[in-house]
Amino acid sequence: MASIWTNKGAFLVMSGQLDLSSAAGLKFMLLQSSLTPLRTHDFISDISASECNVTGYVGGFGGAGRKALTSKTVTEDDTNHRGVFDAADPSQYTLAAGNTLRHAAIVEEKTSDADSPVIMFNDMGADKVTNGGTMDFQFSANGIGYIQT
Amino acid sequence: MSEATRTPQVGDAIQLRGLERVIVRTDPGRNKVWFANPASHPAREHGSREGACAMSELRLMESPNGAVWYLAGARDAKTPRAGAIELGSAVFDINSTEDGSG
Repeated sequence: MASIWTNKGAFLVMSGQLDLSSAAGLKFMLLQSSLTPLRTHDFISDISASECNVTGYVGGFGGAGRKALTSKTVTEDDTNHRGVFDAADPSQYTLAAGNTLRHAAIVEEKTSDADSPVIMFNDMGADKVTNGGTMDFQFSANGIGYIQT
Repeated sequence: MSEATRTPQVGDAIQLRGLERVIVRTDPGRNKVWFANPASHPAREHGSREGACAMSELRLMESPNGAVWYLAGARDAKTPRAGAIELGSAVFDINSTEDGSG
């Protein structure tokens, strides 16, 4: 398991088609441990079968479980030689029992899951079992993702 | 951004993420920094649920044109929230070298 960019995400950013600091459709979605993130996961439709599906999370295109990223930033880090993408942490979820989560994905919703790219995956570090309580996700101190030069 | 940094002062206008700008104010009784716009508490990124954090926890970085001060290093000082699930940072490693041979 790992926190990785997808090839599609790298392409969109490097081609100038995606500005992570301003894209309106950037969202955070939760994924079950059944999914192994791959760099070749291009669109949400490639991963949506493993989306969280317990009560408290409304999945699918436009579903409230996919939370829009707010306060997005892209900054230059001349100390660590990085371009860093970050945003405010998503608000808490209250998730019923029944799922084992492992990754979150940063996606850009377009018009459907089939044309909405997956930008990157963020590993939770271990399987997280939903149990009816709140789950609070916090992005890394290193940012949601970065490009290391 | 430039390397110029300083600690915030009461009355500072700070550019936060995106285009949002907030004004620093204080809560003397608690010796904390508060921000005038409650929706944009950078303190939340320090693990505080109260929307406040110690002035010493914050550092400002000057923008390239010197016109705006941004909140900098905030996440460096962040402490994990109790019970929060910390997500890994997605790394896109270009693996370059300064002479371009990498």
